[in-house]
Amino acid sequence: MFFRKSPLTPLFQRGEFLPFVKGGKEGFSPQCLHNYGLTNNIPLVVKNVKIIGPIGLVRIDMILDTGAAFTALSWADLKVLGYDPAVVSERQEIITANGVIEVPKLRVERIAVGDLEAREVEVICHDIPKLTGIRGLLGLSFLKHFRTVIDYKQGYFEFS
Amino acid sequence: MKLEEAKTLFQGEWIAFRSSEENDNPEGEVVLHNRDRRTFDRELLRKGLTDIYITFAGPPVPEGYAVIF
Repeated sequence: MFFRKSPLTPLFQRGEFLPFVKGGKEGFSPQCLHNYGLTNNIPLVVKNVKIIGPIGLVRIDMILDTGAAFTALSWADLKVLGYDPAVVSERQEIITANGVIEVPKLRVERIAVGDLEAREVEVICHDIPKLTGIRGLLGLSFLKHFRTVIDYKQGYFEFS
Repeated sequence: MKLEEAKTLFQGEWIAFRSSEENDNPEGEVVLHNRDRRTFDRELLRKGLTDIYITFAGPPVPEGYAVIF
C-alpha cells in the first residue's frame, strides 16, 4: 500500500473516497508528500496498518487519533492474532463519549505503518462502533515512537 | 482480482483480502466478505484467517455523520 521513498513518507489518506491530488512541497521529494484535499468532517484514516501477533498478522484501516492515549484494536482482530483479551489480567478504565468503561489492555508484538514499526505496543481492546468502516484507533501508544505532522492548512500528513 | 475490483464487487461489505503484493491496488483474492461486521468477525475467527488485509468497501464514515470518539 505504501512505499517508503524518503525519510519522510506519505502514509496517510484522509477518507477512502475523497478526491486527492498528489503534489510536492519545497524541501520534499514529490514522492514523500501528498496532498489529499482535506476537509474538516472526515477523520484521518491510516490505511493498511500491519498488526503482528504470536500467530500471524492482519492489516487494517485505522483512524489516527492524537487524543487517544492508547491504540485500540477490536476483539476479533486481537483474537485472530493469537491474543485472548478475555483472560488478560490488566484492565484499563477509559473515558468514552458514552461514559467510563473498563477494557482489557495488552501489548501486541508489532505495529507497522509502511516500514515504520513499533514493538511491544500497548493497546486496549475496544470495538469501534460498527457504523464506521474502521476497525481501530491509532493512538499515542503507537504515535509516540515517531514524528507525526498533521498540517491541515497545507493539507498534508507526514509520518517518519 | 485487484483490490479495487473487489471493493467494487463487494461494495458496502467487509472484505478480507489476501495478497502477496504491497502496493496501492494489489492483485489477490477475497477470502471472506460480509455486510455485517459481527458476522464477518465470527467467520474470521472460525476460519482463523491471518495474513490478510481487512477493509471496508465503502466510505469509512457514512455520509451525514461526524465521528467523535
